[in-house]
Amino acid sequence: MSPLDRDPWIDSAIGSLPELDVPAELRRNVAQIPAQHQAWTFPTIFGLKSSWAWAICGALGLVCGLSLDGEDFAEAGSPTFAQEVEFGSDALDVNVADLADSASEQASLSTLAQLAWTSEWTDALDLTQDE
Amino acid sequence: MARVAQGDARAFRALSDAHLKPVYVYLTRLLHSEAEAQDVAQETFLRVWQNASSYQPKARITTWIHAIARHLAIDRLRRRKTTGEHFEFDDERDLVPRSDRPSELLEKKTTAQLVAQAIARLPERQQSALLLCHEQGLSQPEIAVVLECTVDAVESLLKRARSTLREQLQSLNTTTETP
Repeated sequence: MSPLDRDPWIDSAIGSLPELDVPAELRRNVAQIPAQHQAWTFPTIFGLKSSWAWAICGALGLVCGLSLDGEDFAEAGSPTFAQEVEFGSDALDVNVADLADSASEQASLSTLAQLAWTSEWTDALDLTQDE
Repeated sequence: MARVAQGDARAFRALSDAHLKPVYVYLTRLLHSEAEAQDVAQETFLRVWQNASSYQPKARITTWIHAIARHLAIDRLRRRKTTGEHFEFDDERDLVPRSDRPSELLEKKTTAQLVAQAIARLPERQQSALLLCHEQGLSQPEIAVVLECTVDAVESLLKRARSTLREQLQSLNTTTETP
């Protein structure tokens, strides 16, 4: 601290305040804090300490959870999937019924939908348009 | 501090031994109550123990601990205001300075009481700036960290606090001298 920061008159006034000792009870209570309040830390995973490891595991869990949802989603015949086909066809301005007619008569909408969900979706569309 | 963050009780003990007294003194002056200062000091060190991992080494440990203590003291002062809690200065026992000679003791005691009363009349930020600078020996940048303001603001707070304290002490002194 530079000498300009100080004011001797104020130093002297504050210096006149009585000295205070820390009460023994307070000292004791503070010393007991670690025993009474064990700090909770993240358990170690794979040798990695703390929250980072848990964050990585959480992220992996989330990704796995999402991919499982994707598989469920791809199940033909599920109402969610049917809605998706409908939405997709609207967006591409293609009638799902026309698609079904153009394909094998035996092909059910769900079979076509299954096919469409894969990378062959666009191929299937092209074929239909050609036909 | 890193050891405290890892839950090392012995490191915490060393830390509290070094910082408990200045924190307790600061809180007693700010709250004007030893009992409340004890509560808040204990709470401060509990927070230090629980949040040691969030300590950023860019500030000195003492600055960080004083900032926690001040926040808790402000909460206490607010609670006093909102609950309308009746508050009185600690009894004179707490303001008795140390001296062997009775005349000197009396004089010191009167001065100490006047100074304590004058400080108590200042706004909290001015009190904190004054105590942290003149009693705790913190530099202006360190006080700025504790008060969460700029160094210029600290300078201005100190200027106003010093000038008000002078005026207060002069007027209190005149009042006590008047028969």
